[in-house]
Amino acid sequence: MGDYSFRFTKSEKRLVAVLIIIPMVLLFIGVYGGLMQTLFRAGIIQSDPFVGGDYYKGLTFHGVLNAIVFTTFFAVAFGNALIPYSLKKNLNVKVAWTSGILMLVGSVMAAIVILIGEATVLYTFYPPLKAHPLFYIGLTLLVVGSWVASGNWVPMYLQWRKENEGKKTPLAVVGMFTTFIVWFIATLAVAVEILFMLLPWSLGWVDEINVMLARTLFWFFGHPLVYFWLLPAYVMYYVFMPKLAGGKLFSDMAGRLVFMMFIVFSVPVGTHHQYMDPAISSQWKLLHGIFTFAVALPSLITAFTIAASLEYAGKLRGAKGLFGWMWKLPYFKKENWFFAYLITGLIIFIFGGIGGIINASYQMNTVIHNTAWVPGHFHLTVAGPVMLAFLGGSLYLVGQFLNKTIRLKTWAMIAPYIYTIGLLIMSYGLKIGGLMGMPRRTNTGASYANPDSVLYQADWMPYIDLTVIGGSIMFVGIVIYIISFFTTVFSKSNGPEEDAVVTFPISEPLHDEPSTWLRNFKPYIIIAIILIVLSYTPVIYDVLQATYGGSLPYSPDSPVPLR
Amino acid sequence: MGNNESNGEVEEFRPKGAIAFFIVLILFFAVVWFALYFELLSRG
Repeated sequence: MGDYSFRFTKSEKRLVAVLIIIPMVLLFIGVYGGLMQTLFRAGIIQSDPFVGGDYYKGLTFHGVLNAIVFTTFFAVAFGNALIPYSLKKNLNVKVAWTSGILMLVGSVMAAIVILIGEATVLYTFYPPLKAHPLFYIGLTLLVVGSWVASGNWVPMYLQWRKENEGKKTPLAVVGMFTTFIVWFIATLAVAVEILFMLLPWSLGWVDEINVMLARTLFWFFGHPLVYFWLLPAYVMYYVFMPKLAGGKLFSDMAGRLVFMMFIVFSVPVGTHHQYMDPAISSQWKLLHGIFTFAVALPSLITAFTIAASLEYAGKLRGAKGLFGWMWKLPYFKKENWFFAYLITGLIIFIFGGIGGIINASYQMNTVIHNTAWVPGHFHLTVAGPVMLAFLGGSLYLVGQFLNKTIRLKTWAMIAPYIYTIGLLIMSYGLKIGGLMGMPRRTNTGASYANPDSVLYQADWMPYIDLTVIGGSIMFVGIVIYIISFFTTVFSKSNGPEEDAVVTFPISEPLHDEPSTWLRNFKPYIIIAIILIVLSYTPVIYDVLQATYGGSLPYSPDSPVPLR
Repeated sequence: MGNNESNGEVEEFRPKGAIAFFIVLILFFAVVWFALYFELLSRG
């Protein structure tokens, strides 16, 4: 363990850089869409001043580009970087580039049809909203590309195990394989939804679609998707953060246990997004709710383990007392800018975590269901710890793989703090507004926030205003980050690309337990499959029994079917 | 246990601060959860 360098090939380096830089452009378009969302909802704008189109088009490209495209690219790029580095083995570049090209073609295809207004279906692409077939094909290529990328790591890992019998798999590799095991299982359902339901329906080969079945398949995928987002961030928390803080990982076993728990509990939880849906019996919804509480456990273990790791780092810096370590961490050291992205994400996740537990509490879900509370919550997870870790990770990766020194380090260090302030303000506005009844996925600017409307809700306005203020501050934080990112990308290289070596801040464990029972993925995958079969068989059965007929396709613009 | 602990400082480390932080975290979660629970009850 500890720092070491690895020499990637030129082709590998270029691939990782491409997989980071192009999605960063798409991310910025999506972030711009997010800012516009707050302006739409406040009634400040009625159509997008630059991209054109209405609230729902903006909501679609904000969600798809930020939550699906950027995150998937980052996870693949991070795996392409961290797995070869940890195993000291080079990628099969032909396969890796094939996966990258599939993902790029798919993402650009989906982005174009969204931006020309042919796929205004939001990031959940629930029917009966119908998108252009190229949207579904684009998403399929993105997912297939990610499968190819992760499949490319398997022979490397098997070879490493042969050569290193009895050795523990590096924790970073365990984390990245966990990420893609969860992703693979989850995307099987959405592949069925897209290939056998949405695509034929969109192409006009079938007239109607079973909306409830499509929603159920989506949430089979949609909630584990949250862990697909979170797990690379967890890899950074366990593997990088203790070292960046100047300490060690408190327990290696805790990290391994957390990753295995995510494999077991990530998937059989999706129906907690469907508590208010008809067709599914309440006992199965409750079962999924219980599993959702189980999947909170690894996050609680993480909270303790990372706190202990940071406490250790603080104690090494001379901290005294129970909480003195909190004041000894390198929050504002520009040379240690990466730490800022991880610590701000963790602070945000405290609020995101409790929001998730509330959402999963069956009865309490009725208080917040389909209100602005929900985006208030998930911005504290996917737009909090996930986004910040991925932004920090992206900047680190381009610096390493393009052999460049990070430019504007003070800007890079301060950006996550500005973003965090904005995020907390915006989420507070959304959550309190949601508790007052403010709906999500609704252009409130045309109704509840419009003084000329009979629906006008004056008491919601302070909270809507907070979302505008918070969203604007978040946007400023991202602009500062983007300036630092692209200044680094376009700066002069430190030397010939082929000579450069890559280094990651790998933490040493303070307690390096043998944890032999956590060394094999197989038993945990088998348990996961058993739980999925037990939890989803009755749900699918209920849906198929209770749903009669199907739905014609619609667009958000009209109550009349498209055909 | 295959321990990496090699000096006295590490041997003595007990994560009392992290335990205290964790307890505060759980208390905070309980306060927020019950706030929403009572909101649910108040709606009848």
